[in-house]
Amino acid sequence: MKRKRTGICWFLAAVFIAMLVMGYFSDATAAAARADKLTVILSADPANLDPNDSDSQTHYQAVRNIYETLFVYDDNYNLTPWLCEKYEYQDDSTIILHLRKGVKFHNGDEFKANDVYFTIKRVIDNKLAAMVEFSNILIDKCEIIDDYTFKLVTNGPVATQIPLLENPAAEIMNERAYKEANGDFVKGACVGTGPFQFVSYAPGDQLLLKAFDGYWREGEPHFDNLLIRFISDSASRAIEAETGGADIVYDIGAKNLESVSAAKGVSIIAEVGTNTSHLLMNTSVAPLDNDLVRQAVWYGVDAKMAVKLAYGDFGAVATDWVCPGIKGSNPDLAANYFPARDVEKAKKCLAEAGYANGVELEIVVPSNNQERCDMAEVFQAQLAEVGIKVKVNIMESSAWNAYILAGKQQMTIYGFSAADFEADRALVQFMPTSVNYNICKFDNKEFQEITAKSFVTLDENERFQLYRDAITILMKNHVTIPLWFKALNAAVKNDVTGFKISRSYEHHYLQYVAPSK
Amino acid sequence: MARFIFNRLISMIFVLLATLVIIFTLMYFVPGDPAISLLGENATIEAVKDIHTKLGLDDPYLVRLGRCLWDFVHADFGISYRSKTPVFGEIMARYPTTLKLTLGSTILGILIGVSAGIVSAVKQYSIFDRVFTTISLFGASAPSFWLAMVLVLIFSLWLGWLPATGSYELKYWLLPVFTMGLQCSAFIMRMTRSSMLEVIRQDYVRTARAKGQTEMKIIINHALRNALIPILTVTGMRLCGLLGGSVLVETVFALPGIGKYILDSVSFQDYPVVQGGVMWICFNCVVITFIIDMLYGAVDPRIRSMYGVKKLSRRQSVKEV
Repeated sequence: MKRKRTGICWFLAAVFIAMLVMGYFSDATAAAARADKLTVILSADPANLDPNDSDSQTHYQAVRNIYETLFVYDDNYNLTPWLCEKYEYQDDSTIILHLRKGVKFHNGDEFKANDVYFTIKRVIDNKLAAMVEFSNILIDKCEIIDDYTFKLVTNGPVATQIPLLENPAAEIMNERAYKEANGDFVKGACVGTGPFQFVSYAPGDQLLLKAFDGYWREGEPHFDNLLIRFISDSASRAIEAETGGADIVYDIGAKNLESVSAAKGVSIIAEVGTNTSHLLMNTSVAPLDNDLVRQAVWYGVDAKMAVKLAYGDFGAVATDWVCPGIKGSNPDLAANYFPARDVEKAKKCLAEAGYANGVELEIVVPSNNQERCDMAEVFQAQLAEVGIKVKVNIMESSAWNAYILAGKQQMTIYGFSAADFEADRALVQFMPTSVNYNICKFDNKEFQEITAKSFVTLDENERFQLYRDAITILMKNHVTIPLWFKALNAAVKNDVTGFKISRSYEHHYLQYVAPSK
Repeated sequence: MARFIFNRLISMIFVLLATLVIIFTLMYFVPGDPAISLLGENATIEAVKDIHTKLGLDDPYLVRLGRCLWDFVHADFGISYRSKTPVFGEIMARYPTTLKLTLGSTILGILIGVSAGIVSAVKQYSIFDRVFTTISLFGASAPSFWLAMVLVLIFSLWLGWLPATGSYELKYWLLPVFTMGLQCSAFIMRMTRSSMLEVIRQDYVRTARAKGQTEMKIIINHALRNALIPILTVTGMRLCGLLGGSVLVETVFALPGIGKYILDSVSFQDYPVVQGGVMWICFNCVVITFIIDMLYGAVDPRIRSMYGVKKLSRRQSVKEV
């Protein structure tokens, strides 16, 4: 009996030692990050720390604290110089950038024109994700005039080249640090001019940063440490917000808003973003290639009701083709072109199109977006009254994406972002050069000419009018029904102040966040 | 014995290669384009083509499969499309979390499951038996994500005793380990109970009792030892299941484990990560199965002697020749 007890004791001791060895009891990184820190929770891991090689908002949200861009949007969403102090057009294709002096990188190097050149060249040579921002730049013709002056040459006039330089994917990196670390972002290459500098990164778990003492904007940031955690599950993020597990929690889901709002010591900060969801119709497949059938869908649906049922008070019912404040928005558009539900008119359109006995249509939606699935079911019920039998096809998100990009669907619900605060970002997706062209396959020469012209028109007023004209053509041809303006939100502890939603790419600037007095 | 080990090692290699071919083929036919995932909605057709060329995505199936097999044979798991870092390093960064969760749950499952199973078998149809059987039924049938959410709701949100997410100290591990451990213990408990019930009616147990041995000694030394084989089998299977199947618990508790990493990579069409992650879990399962096979021999002298007899008979036959 005594021997057996000794055996059990040994077993328990072995389990305890194993737990110690495996590190159940401590975590050096977490322990080091306890004093005077700001804890922020994002909805996904940035996946890498390369400033120029990702297109995801969560990547921007994490990495934008380390690196900075040449331009930013101010509180009124006007483009403001940042690392670039001022710029001027030498001709339609040449922009002279005057860089800010006295800006230091985290390794002590001064920010100079060679870093701008290196950043752009690396993206173009390696075909990184930031190609979207730099694709019109002719790097061989660009020139370092002096340490603080850079000549940017594009392949003809590019209307939104300056706004594109505000995109977090166009953040400037340090040439020396990148080369010395051989491109390893965890072992030395992660050097920017931002308010925080890199300390450690645990993939899938957290990113730890510390305040950069040599930051060029005096008095910022307001926290010594910034701990960024990644929690993909929306319910878990909401619980962290409710229990005060973090100072700021991004992206509270529509279904969790009520409970988080009710939690003590936490406030929800929300603002409409730049993404508008639309009901999109594929104009190249029968019977939607017939404008009368598209009109029947237009008059058959009640977008407001669908949005209300799916999202409740989260976000806003679309009142324009693009979100408020986006250049190209048209306050008269809704009054003149937005559909008002009229079942009789819809039936008449259907009869005129030769489908008096009804027609069958398919709407595909991704399974990972419950709100879109809900809206599709509302449309199914509404269109049944018109005589349109809608089959709701809920597909796994990758399969859905491949399906709509191949143009196999008749209808889908999809959101277009205009993150550069101009409608071009959304309109370009209807052009044959875009991978999204097949979603609607709207082959309209007038639309394509106007849109293409808007991309090269430097005069702002003329350009914004071209956007409005292009959007009007889409509406007149019943290609899309604007549904919902996406809302951006965050749960913020009342202990901190200064947090502002950044509408453009959702890369909220944490350097302004300070402890409440 | 050596021949047995050699044969098992050979079969392990075939299992791994077959798994690689299957997972590669499945990912090949999964709809979606990694280039679009990388470039986003503003990608141009030209940029997508460039990425296809860069990643070799336009190559025929056999060329890509051959490349994948060649890399695997050279212990190269490839480079992640998203992170641009070696997949093996990414997996190793997440492996400790999965290992802690899996081993912690299994140890808890063994402690609870074996103890409850023994009590249930020895006190068959008693109140203990009924309570443990009911709890095990609940544990086996309750979905892990539901159980996880309920535990978070009670212990984190309402009581505020334990953190809801993270993996920094022991207290962070209690809820996830308990969630998975409860399920694991349910299966082990049921198997222990049925194995023990079979064994405690055997003649040698009756003989041990007749010889006047204490009940505890009879249960531990005679009954449990002989009932261990099916328990070991179930434990090994649960261990393998937990290694790859902890994704829901990892998601709810925000644990950076391999399961969640693979799932995220599937939706991003990060093929090298999916292949590498599945292969690593498969390798672990193959090793666990091998260890369990070895443990059979250690636990049961009859199996041990079987290898010995074979070896002896071969020697004898050589002498005879």
